[in-house]
Amino acid sequence: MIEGDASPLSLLTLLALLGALAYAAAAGSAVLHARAVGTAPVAAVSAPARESARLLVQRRRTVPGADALLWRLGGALLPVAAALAALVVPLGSTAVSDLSVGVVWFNAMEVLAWCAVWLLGWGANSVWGLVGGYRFLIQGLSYELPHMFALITAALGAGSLRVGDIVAAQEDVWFAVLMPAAFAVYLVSALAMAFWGPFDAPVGRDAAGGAAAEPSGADRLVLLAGRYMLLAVVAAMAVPLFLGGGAGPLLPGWAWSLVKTLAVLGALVWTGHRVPTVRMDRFTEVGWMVLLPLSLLQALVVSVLVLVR
Amino acid sequence: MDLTGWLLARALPCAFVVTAVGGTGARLAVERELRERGWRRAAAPGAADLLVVCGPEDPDLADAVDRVWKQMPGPRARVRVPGADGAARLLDATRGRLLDVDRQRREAAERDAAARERAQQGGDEGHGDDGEHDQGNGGDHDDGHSGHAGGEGHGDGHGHGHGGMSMPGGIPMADRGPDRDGLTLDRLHVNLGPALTDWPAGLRLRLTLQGDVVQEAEAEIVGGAAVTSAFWDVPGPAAALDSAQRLLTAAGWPDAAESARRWRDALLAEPEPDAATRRGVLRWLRRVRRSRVLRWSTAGLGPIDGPVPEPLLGDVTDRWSRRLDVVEAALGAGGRPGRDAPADRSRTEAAEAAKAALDLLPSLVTGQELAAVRLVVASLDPDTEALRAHVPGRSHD
Repeated sequence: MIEGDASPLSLLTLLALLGALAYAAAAGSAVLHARAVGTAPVAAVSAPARESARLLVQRRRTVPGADALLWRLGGALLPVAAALAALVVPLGSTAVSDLSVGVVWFNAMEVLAWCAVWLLGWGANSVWGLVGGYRFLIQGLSYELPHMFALITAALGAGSLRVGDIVAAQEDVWFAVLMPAAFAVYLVSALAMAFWGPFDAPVGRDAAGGAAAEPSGADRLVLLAGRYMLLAVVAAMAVPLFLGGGAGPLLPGWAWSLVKTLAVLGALVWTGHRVPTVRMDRFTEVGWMVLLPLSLLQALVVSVLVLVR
Repeated sequence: MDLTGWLLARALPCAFVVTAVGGTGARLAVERELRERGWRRAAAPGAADLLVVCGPEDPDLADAVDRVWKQMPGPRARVRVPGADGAARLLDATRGRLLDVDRQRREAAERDAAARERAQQGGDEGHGDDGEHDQGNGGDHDDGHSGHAGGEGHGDGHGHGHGGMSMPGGIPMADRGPDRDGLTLDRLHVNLGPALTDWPAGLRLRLTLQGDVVQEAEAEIVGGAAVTSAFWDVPGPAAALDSAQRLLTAAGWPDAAESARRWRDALLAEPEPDAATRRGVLRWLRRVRRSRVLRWSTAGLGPIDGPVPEPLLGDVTDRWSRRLDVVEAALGAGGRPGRDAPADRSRTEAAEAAKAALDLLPSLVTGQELAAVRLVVASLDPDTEALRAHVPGRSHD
């Protein structure tokens, strides 16, 4: 597929890789769907490509009264946010840019998704879009703080915000083992960030597609691709943060990174198909009453561990 | 063949399905065809390229269907499937029209020209390819600010406002009113249905929303005046599965909903299900019952007690559980599923339950947000056909 072992990871390789992972997620989702429907799962592998073909031919819509700039920007922001977040994700031991504040950068880029979905919903001047936007705001309020604390806990364990240092700190024991609650919170908030599976209410079918109700054609393609890229990038980031990065026997580092990323991505996609959507008011309860205290407690435990060590 | 044609030929169509009262048989056939071909069902017109209207020609529904058609971006094609027979043939023919690149180009040019003309006449900013005045998607969003709220003044540049411009795109601004928390918020008038997916045929819920919370609601049935018989004559496991798939879709669990549709069609095709079907249905039942998230999501919503038909009692969870029980009982009994009740009685019962559900609906959804509204409606799932066919002289206006 793609050679990742060329010494410094080039931007182009990264983007190609991200695209491939996003396609894999979309294809995996289509296969799971085909299994539920009872049609041939093999044919479903090409489903995202065929959907892309359809959207490439489809005309763009304009909605009267829409704030066209914000609306189109919202959709386009998603893949951009995912690509920017991916810059600090290492493949093996090399990242495109191993910033000294990598974790903060990653989080900041992710939060762009928040802005993107809201703009998308609000800009369309449609009731459904607005409802989708509202839902994502509420979702964001509930997952963002636990998510940040999960990220910070990993950084705390390594004593550095540099992603490379976090990987290095897991030489003996993976952070997934050391801080399981933070890992769990990260995975849940990752699903929420990519508004996938149980957290797809912002683009829910019950609201006629919510924030994604109005865009068509290329706009829609960019939006859907961006969402899968976001899912891929949050899965990829779980590897250096909690799963020891490229560490593993026999295979080279980049291969282990990919294998682990695919495993996490697969788990996220699968979960999305197994679990119904969680209603927003119920999730808010869980976010503030369970996830937030849990992630704080985890941060406390890790802080004490770091101090004692 | 040019690139457009090449891409079009590879694309799997995505259909927006609208069901008229009396169109259940057609809808089931269409859904089955779509599933077997791997074509998707769109959640909103903006995402679709096929418009499929199921059921008899209905003048009352024509307006809603036309709005949906106007919102479809193109390339696009529409078709009416009057009954279960010939659904496959009609869908094939419609896809043929969709693939006719010359025809699609011609139509697109005509639409553009018409939109330009309208824009020049109207004198306001151009509305791109459609110039349609529909905001909402899926349901026909009433541009009834004029009809409903005309007298109440139209905000002042808040809400969807663009500075001081009072009419973005020619649409009046939303008016405002106090909400449940004592804030003054925009009031949006939205119609859910009749052209909404995964929704009881012909049901229209007129809502006044603030944010996504319902302030006022009114339920009515659009069309179906000529319907004389209901498809679910004797409701059995297939009918229960059909209701369940709708609820699961509203609950955001497309996989389980697809499976429910698959087993529903299997049970319809073979009244004596074979071992494989039986196993599949039972597995599906276990999976849905075991889902804590679903239970937790629907618990406590839309509670009904008091003198109402038995299927309506309880909250949303109780109602969908009861439907699953129907499926399980029919399969477990081993005999022909659901054929034990006398047809006359079950007809009247279905109609009465639908009538009671419609009467209760506004009070149940008021104060709820949209996701809950969809779940409540799906759990009640009024059989509008039975209502039209078996309660003569009743009209919901």
